[in-house]
Amino acid sequence: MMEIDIKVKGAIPGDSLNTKLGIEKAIKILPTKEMEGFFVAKLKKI
Amino acid sequence: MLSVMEVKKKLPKDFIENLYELHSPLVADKILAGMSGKRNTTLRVNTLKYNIQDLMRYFREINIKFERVNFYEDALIIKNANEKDIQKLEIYEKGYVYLQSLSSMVPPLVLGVKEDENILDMASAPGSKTTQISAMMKNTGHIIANELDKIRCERLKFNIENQGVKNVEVINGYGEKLGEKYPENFDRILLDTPCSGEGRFIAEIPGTYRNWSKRTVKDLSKIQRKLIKSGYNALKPGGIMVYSTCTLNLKENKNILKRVLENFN
Repeated sequence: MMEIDIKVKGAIPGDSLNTKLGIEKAIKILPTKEMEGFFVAKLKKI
Repeated sequence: MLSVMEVKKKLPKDFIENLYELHSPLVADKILAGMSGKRNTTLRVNTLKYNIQDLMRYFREINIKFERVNFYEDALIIKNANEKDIQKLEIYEKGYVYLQSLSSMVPPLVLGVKEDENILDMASAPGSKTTQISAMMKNTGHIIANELDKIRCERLKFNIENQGVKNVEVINGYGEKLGEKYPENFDRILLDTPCSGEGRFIAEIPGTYRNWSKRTVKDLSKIQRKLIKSGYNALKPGGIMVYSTCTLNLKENKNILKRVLENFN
């Protein structure tokens, strides 16, 4: 899992718990008047 | 605009229960407040044909009010016109702009494509993200855009043509098979997967949530597991994949990633 370096207003970590898998690095965009709710994760193949 | 209590009454009961199980009451309320009314029209300038400065000048001339977007210089939030109004403009017909939700512009930005790379978009139609990626690559490199549904494939081809995109090859098949067809082939892969669409719910529009059920979520998660595995196999070592959904539950997000990370790391 990779960090997401785009700052989207109102986004929260994709997982509230720090896990050894790094899923908290994903982001969850909360729905607003401008934004749909979205989940975005970035992975690198090793 | 509805209150959070009114939104709760309109949306599926199981969805509301899941939401409060997964999030703190504060965050769950915030999510529901974001589903209380229609969203503003948003768009992206197609930099293959036009630019943001000329677009803003044009909108000022015709008295369309807008706001800039903090994370993307090529996007605008339209304040006093809806999608139908924009669709009547010549700049829309000519493919100078693309009507697209702001959130759906995020996955291509996160993917971070570079010119001349080899890209796979696994579930491409109607092509908002594919054409955005193409514009970010300045029509260089090669993008394979896959779409399973033949009718949606035609819409994808139309949008590609209309936007002046030249570096996309459209294919029509099962995303689950792409890993076998193109093993370790791509520098970057976008998997914006079919999902239950919870993030698009608007309480006043039943069509946005009518088809949602626990069963649908479960069925979609099975497809998503196969798609991410296929995508991972199609990725070159060192390659980057972005997995995105317009939904908020565990089964289609965290659990899909957990499975692939445990199996492949």
